[in-house]
Amino acid sequence: MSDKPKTESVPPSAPAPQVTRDAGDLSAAKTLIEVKDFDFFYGQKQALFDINLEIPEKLVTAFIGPSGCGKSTLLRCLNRMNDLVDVARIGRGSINIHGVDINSKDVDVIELRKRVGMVFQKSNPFPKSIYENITYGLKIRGIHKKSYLDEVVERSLRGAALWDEVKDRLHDSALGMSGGQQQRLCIARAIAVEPEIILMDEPCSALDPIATAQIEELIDELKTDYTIVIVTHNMQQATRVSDKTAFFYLGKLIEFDETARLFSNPDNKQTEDYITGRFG
Amino acid sequence: MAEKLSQSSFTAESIQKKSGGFLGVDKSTLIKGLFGGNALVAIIVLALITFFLFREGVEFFPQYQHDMSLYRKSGQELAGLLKAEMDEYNELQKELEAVQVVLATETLEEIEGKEWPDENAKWAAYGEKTAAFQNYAESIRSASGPLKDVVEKVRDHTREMKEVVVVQETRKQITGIDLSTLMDEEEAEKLLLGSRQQVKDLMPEIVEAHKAFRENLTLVLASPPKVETEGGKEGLEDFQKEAEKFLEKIPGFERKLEKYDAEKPFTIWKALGGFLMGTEWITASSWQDYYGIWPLLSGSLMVTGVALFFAIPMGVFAAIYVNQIANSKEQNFIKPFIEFISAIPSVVIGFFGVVVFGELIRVWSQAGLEPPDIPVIGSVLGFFSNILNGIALRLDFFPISERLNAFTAGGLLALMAVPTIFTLAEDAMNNVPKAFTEASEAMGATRWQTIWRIQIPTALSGIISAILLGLGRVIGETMVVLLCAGNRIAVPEFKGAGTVFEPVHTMTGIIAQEMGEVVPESIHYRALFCVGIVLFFLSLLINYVAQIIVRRYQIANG
Amino acid sequence: MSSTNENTQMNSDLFKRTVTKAKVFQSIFFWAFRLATYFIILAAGFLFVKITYEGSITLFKTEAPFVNWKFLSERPQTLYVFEWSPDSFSEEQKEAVATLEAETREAMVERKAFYEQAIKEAEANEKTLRVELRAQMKKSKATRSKIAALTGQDERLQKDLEKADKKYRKLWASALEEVPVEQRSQLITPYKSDMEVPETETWKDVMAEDPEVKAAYDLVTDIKNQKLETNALIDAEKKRLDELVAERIRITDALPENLKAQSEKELGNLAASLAWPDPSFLENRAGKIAEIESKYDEKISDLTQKYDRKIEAATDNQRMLNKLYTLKADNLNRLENEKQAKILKVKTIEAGDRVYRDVYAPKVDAAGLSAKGYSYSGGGIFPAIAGTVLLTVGSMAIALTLGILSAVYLSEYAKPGTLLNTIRLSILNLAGVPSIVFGLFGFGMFVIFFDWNVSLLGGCFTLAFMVLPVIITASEESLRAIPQGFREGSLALGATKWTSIRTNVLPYALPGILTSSVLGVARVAGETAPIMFTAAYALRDNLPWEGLDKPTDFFFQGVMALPYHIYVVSSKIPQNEYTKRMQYGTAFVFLMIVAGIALTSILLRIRMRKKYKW
Repeated sequence: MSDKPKTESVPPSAPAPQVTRDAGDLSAAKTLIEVKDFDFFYGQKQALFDINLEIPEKLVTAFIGPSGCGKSTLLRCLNRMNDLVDVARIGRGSINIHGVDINSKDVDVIELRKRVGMVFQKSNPFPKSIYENITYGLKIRGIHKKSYLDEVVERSLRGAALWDEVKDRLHDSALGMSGGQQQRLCIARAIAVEPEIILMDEPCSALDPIATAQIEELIDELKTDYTIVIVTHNMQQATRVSDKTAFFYLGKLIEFDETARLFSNPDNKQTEDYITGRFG
Repeated sequence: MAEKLSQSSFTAESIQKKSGGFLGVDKSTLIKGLFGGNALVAIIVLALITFFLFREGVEFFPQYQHDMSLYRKSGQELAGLLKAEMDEYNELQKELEAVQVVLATETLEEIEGKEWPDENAKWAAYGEKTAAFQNYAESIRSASGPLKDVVEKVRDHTREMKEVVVVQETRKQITGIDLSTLMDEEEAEKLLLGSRQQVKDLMPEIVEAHKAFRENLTLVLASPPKVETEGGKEGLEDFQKEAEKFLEKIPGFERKLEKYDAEKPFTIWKALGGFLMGTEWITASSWQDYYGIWPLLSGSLMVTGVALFFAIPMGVFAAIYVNQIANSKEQNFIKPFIEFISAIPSVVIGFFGVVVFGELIRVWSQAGLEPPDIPVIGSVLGFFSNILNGIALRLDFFPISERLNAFTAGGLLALMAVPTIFTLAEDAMNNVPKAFTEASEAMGATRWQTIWRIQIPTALSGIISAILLGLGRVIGETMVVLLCAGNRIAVPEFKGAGTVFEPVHTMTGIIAQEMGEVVPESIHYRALFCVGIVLFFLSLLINYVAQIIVRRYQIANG
Repeated sequence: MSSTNENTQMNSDLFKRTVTKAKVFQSIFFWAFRLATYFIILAAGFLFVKITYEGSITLFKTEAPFVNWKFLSERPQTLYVFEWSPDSFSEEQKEAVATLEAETREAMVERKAFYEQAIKEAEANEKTLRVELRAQMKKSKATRSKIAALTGQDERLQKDLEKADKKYRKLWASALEEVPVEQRSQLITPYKSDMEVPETETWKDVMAEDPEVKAAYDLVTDIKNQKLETNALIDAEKKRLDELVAERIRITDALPENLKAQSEKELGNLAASLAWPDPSFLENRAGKIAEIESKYDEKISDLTQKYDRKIEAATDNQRMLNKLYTLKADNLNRLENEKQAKILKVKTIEAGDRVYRDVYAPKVDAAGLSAKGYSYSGGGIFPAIAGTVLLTVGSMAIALTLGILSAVYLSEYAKPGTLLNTIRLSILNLAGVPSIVFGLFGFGMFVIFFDWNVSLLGGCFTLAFMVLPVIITASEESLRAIPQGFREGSLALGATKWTSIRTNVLPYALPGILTSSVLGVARVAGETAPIMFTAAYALRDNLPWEGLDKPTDFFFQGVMALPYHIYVVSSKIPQNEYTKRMQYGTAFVFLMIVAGIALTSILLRIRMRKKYKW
């Protein structure tokens, strides 16, 4: 990973980036999230068309595509954050996690979100101390034991590669940290409650290259324990961090494959145009 | 056209400032000055308010000092001390009379229950049973005999003397009266001195009578009569206790008498203290006027307390409900409606309190709420009124006799404070960044957990300042308290939760009620302005604190 | 496929709904919040509905034209009510009542002619009159303060008398205390409210039967006479005062025919009558009171003895009390029935005090009737509506001028600095000053210092100052909403700052400013406290544009105002079925006006937001 480029800007007509990852034995991975014939609407406007997707366990899956292609929408459907939008509704199809339809009436959305964590585009730590930010998720589950909380804080901060930087100021306000640190704190906050899946919605878009590199490194470490779904419109990032990549265009899933294959040998003409920078 | 334009070709002069306008000041400066001058109006008005309040109010203190000096110089103050003691003793006697009635009733019952050979025997027995107590009561009554006489003498004389001086002074201010017919200052001083002297001359007699009074009372109390009936016994015991308490106070009275010095000047600081700490607001009195702000301040605080007790939870809860829980249809209805409540004029709310709400409270206190006779609504209301009636039966300070009291006014003021608290608190919650809520919900927090742990703490400074501004609105409100607070000028006697059902008077209420009737520039008039000053600075303080809280604890949205 | 099935089996309860503590909390709290919210709405709704319902009875009628115009267009009158039932009425009386109204109408015409004549004369003498009137007014102000001082003394005398009165009450109470507690309340009630024993037949019966009661009654009567005697003394002096006041009123009211000849003489009288009370009177009074008091003391000891004996006869007493109680209950029932019957046949007159005294009273007396008067309860509320409109228009004119100018400065000219901060702080603080303090300030500045007296102008200025923060804030907000581009576009074309404000900012901001200011109108129209002692009269017969000597008088006259009128009718007159209609009607009209303005403001604001989006 040391030969990672320091800058992310892509020249308009750059050739398809080289895949640096070792693909490994991806076909053996078990399917964790299964999206079937999924249609989704914002009011009258259809945002997603007939999506079929199987996301494997304990791997990093990247959603790429031009803005407005529906990748973030799908991500927010995975833990039903779209419930917060009044006009959002599901047209058809289902999303199954562990084979359970998460949109069914019996599903408790709170339970779902406890297992499917999320990291947002813009870092959003609470206006509380670092310590309180991390323990928030545990406290709302009713865990108040101090020794356990301390342990979790250290573990998750270490997990998010943040421990050494902040261990002396755990009780300072989280709003005093730098942007990259804040984003890693959000990741630490997400993993503190030990979800199975972490959704990341363009986690690096507001960060500088160094902070981005740190986060990407972190993602790589996290995937041994978690299933990660990341939305990005930066193709280098997708190639750097993901094992599988899904390409969306105008609300449709155009192509979904192992990252190495998708970038080196895309099946679809649109995919090829996009990854070679001809549009988007 | 093109030619014309070319006239003003671009040269160095053409973009230089042109002089002109009025008196060398250019026009735009003038216009700016006009606007600026008007902008100062807020400062000017604030300064004018302060100036006029002080202009009319500050003279109160010298006047009050003068008034109280007369009270002291004429010796009336001493008489006042004695009068207070006698009044207290009279109260004590009333209690004894009550015991007497209880005893008589019980004894009669007892006698009726037995067989008697004839009426005479019966009444003889009755006389026997009550004689001891009759004697006791008579001794209590006569214990203060000599003191009472001398007190009355001093009281009437000093008051008359002071009144003569006051009348003369009042008439001096009337134009068109021949000043030579009036007393000059020297004469007045002489009169006062005479009055004072007479009191002084009587001092030995007073002290003597006082001593006798104490001894008599001690003697009488030492041998209480034997009482057989239950109520009588209880009553007598209570009375003895009360009387002994009074007896213990007597040395205090004596010390006061000894220490009393009519020559000591009544300083302006005492006048100030008398206003700020005084517990009596008595005007147009036949004895002496007092202007102490406590009865009014305590009333204001009590009404405000009741109002906020209801308004804070309701306003904040409603803000949370509308901002976080209600759907958009509810929001579109509730928000304008509550905004609309703030437009209901306070006098209409006060009127409602007088004709409807006060009566409801009184009926409720008697556990007699009855729902209207309407099919469905009636039975629903019936359910609630039964609960309320049940509560009323369990409260030991119920039923109340006054329908207009601090609770009535406070309940209505709550309705007025709710829109202020609601609107500002809702605003504060609206300003909490959406990202916080999203992050919390994405972690599987329930709606309530998000509200309780994220939304409220983040908006807290806004909510607190909303409450403070609500407080400001309530404490400055006039018409509702004037109409509904009962207007009894006294520091309310504390007796648990029942205290809030006592009628009170407030600072705003007293200004509104008495301002129209006082003689301009009289001491009473100035006292009212002083109350206004207190009110003015209190509201400024509340406002100021609210602003500080908002500014200092505003969240930094990272 | 089978593996997926297995998965489903295993994980079927993965996201199952569970009942956790957090969720239970949530639903409890949500319900509490919902309840609080709807409670507020219900409470306010109840207030609104109650006043609307009761007020509609006054304001609307069931037959055309469905609106009670009389209530909106007339001046307030005192309502006089005869209470009679036809069966207790002689033929003569019936006739008298019948002719009463006809004659009244004639008399009214006469009166009108008389006043018109007087006004004509007055106009002829206008100039001389005006000069003299000014002088009189000045003097009358001084006189007023004198009278006030004297009234204070009078009140003190009155208080002494009340004290004596209390003593009698105590006397009676002590007599009562000798009887058993449970019967006492029945005995107390008839005496408590007044010193008198009701002279009904039943009471007379009881007194004839029981000499003890008779004796007590006599005693009370005796005491009452004593009181009357002292009262007479005071009354004589009070009467002199009353005359003094009456004379002064006559001067200032300027009933023209008296004015010229009498003015000097009356002033002389004034000074003379101010000599009261002279020291001899004070002395006299003190002596009198002492005398009375000694008498009471005697009576007390007398009574104590009497009731010592009385307690011996307590058994008899009990029997008597039982009887008394039954009698009283019967009597009350009968009275209640009679009252009900009477109310059904009530005849009402609406008339001002003066008209009633001159025109009706003699005839009503002659007919052997008695009428009860209820102030303000007849007629309508037109002067109050007119006054409120004038106050609102005047104060808004002042406030808008000052407010808009100052907002232009704040948003267009001012640069951040100490001055701007101070101004903003002042505006914020001004918004928090209680309205009664504005009233006090207005009283001190306009009424006393500028010597405008209780006047329309004083009220307008007070209200304008009060509403200023609202106007400034609203105007500034509208000005700031104008995009910077409008100004820059104009400036870039070489316009001066003022020109660009005048042509490109103000015209677009003005609708917004006015819309937002409507809320200020609601506030101005709804406030009572600031006008209580700066502008409002409890009752004024003239409408604001009537009876003016010169145009400027228009601004220096007190007016009636709706909110103050509501205060007066809800606190100063008793509540009963005649006054209730007036009270609710006024409150309803006022609520409708203010609520209408507020609603307009809310709706306009919503519309503005949709319409103007730059």
